[in-house]
Amino acid sequence: MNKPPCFQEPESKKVIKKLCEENKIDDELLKDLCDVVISFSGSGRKEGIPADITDCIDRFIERA
Amino acid sequence: MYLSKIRLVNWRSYADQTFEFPKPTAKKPLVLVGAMNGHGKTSLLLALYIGMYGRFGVRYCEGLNHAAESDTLFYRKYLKMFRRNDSDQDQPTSVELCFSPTIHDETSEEIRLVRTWYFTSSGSPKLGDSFEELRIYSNEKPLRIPDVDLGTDRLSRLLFPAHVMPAFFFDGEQAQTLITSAGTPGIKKAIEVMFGTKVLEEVHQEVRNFINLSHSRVGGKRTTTKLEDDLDTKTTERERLNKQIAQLQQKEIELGKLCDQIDHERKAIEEKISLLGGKDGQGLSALQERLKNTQKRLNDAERSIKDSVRSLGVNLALSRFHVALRNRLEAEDQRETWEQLRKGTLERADQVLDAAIPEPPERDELLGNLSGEVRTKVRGRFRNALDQIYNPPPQGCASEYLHGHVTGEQRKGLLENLHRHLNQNEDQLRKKVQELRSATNDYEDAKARVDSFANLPQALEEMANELKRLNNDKSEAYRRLHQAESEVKKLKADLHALSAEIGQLTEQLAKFRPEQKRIAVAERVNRVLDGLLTELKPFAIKHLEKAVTRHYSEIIDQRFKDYTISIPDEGSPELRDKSGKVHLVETMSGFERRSFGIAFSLALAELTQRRLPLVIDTPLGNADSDYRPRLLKALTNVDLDQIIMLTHDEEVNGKLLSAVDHTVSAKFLIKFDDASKQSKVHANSYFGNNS
Repeated sequence: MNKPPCFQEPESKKVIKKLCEENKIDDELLKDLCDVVISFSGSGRKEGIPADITDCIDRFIERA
Repeated sequence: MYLSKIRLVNWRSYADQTFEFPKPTAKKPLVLVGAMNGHGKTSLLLALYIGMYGRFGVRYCEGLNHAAESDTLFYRKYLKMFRRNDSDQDQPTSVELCFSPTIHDETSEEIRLVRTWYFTSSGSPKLGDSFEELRIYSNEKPLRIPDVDLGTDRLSRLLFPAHVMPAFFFDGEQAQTLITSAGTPGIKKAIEVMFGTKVLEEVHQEVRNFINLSHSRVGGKRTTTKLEDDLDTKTTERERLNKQIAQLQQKEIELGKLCDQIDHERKAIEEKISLLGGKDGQGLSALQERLKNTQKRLNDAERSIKDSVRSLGVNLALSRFHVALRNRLEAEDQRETWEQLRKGTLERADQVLDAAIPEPPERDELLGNLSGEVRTKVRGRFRNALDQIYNPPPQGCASEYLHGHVTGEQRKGLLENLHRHLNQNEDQLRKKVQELRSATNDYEDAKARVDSFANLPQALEEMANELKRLNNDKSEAYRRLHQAESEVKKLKADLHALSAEIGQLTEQLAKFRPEQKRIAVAERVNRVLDGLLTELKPFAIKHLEKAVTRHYSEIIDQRFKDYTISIPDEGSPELRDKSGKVHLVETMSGFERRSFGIAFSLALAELTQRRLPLVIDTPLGNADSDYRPRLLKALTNVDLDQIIMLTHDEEVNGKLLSAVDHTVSAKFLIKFDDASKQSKVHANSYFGNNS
């Protein structure tokens, strides 16, 4: 899945990194959440999003 | 990615034509599609917009109405126009597009989409939603999509958002309209989408929904929030208590030290009193007795030392001549030894002479015939020779006896006694001096004590006052110490109770712990997204300005080389010269505005960091001979995988074509066939050749 360009552009990556560090999360979690939103976009099954967000957060908690 | 296939069925002038583009390489990214005016170039560009995004594509398609709120109405109107006039009424109109991965995005899938429109016999789109159908294939596997709009949304995720299209698919002649038609809000919105902030906004919304949903799952936000608030309050209170206890314990330590110090001072005063003779009940008479005794001891010591000093005079005198006397006695001892040896030898001289010159001469067989006178002379000479053995006396030998009354063993005994006597006197004197010093100290001490009795009442009063003050201080310090101890005790009890309450709250919250943890993480994500959406937008604008300035300076003539471009919050983009003077892009010449539009599109494409195919209709248009090579160079230098140029016969030809020919991967020529009234695609053909 294509990540939003701000995750690739060097300077915006720095902004993301700084904000993530300040709030004690990693950019992987943000990317995962983007994936969730992107994958559900147009699928008509938006009710599945909370479950996928839960998975993303649980994975983050596990690796943190 | 690159466009690998375009199939147009009953679309504008195309009955059923297919473009199949080869996979581009780094050296050959360019595709030339030639067509005279009205033969199908713009139809091809329109097919990309409408085929990709249907009614949403109308919004971004140059030359069409952009009113968003009337998309659907105008969409139907436009579809009727886009359908080929001579279509069979049962045959639908369709656009098929295929996007394939290049070497830069090998992991991506090949996305093929087929958008089909169904029409009534009168040539109008069918009623309701059934007039349009969208099929999407990922690596030829069909994707399930509930309806066309959601499918279009899905496409924007799989490929690129609709807003991106004007950056990659555009009509060079109308590029400048991007400045005015999109407007600053439109540009900003495009940036949001291209930079990913749109996705982040959606994530933000979904995370907020998730937080609300999670709160309701764990008994409502209020319940858990109240528990958390209580826990926070009590935890804060516990921290405060711990700090307070630590401060009080520090105070206890300081008060303890103060008590110790007061005790120390009291002891010092008591010692002073004892030195005054008060504490041990030592009376004045005892002190006077002691003074008397020490005085006697001192006198004895002085007397003894005087005697010693007196005898020390003799000793000192002796010690002064000790070395000379010893040397003298030794020299005399040596002389005595020498004299004894000489005397002994001379005494035995007659015996020796008798042996050498026997008497009477008749017994001397050797020298018996010598006269008596000669024999006497020989004996005399011999005796003198013997005497010469001991002359002169040996070195160090005394020449005479000064102490002739002391001889032999007596002399040696005298030397030993003299040495011992001197040492003994030194030791005795040293001891006596020590005794004198000790006696003097004792005497002075006793005398000071006796003297102190003279000032005793005043000194005692001062000390009594000092003791009283110290006792008061001690009482106060101990009172404060006890107070601090009881406060600590009370606070510890409070702390214990608070810890118990915190434990209960923690247990209550533990029931919701997993969900609470998730909510906490989601809240943090929420904060990150808040910050990101604020910080990335101006950041993106700044980058866009830089990129537009760079592309524009490549295309534009020398007059504008050092200009910088800014995109203000409101109004049109501005060019600023070195002196800071502002020039509005809107007020520039037609081709300058057009160049700005192209530079802007290329900058947008660059900012997206997406490797989409660049499709430009009439890129050079009516540019003059100076602009044309610069613009063509700028376009072919863009770092993208595929550049498709839709040109007329006067654009890329002659020298210009020769200059870029080595970068061309495919050529097509579109010709409108008057007989069949349709545009036909001729692969490997271009103006003036059939290569």
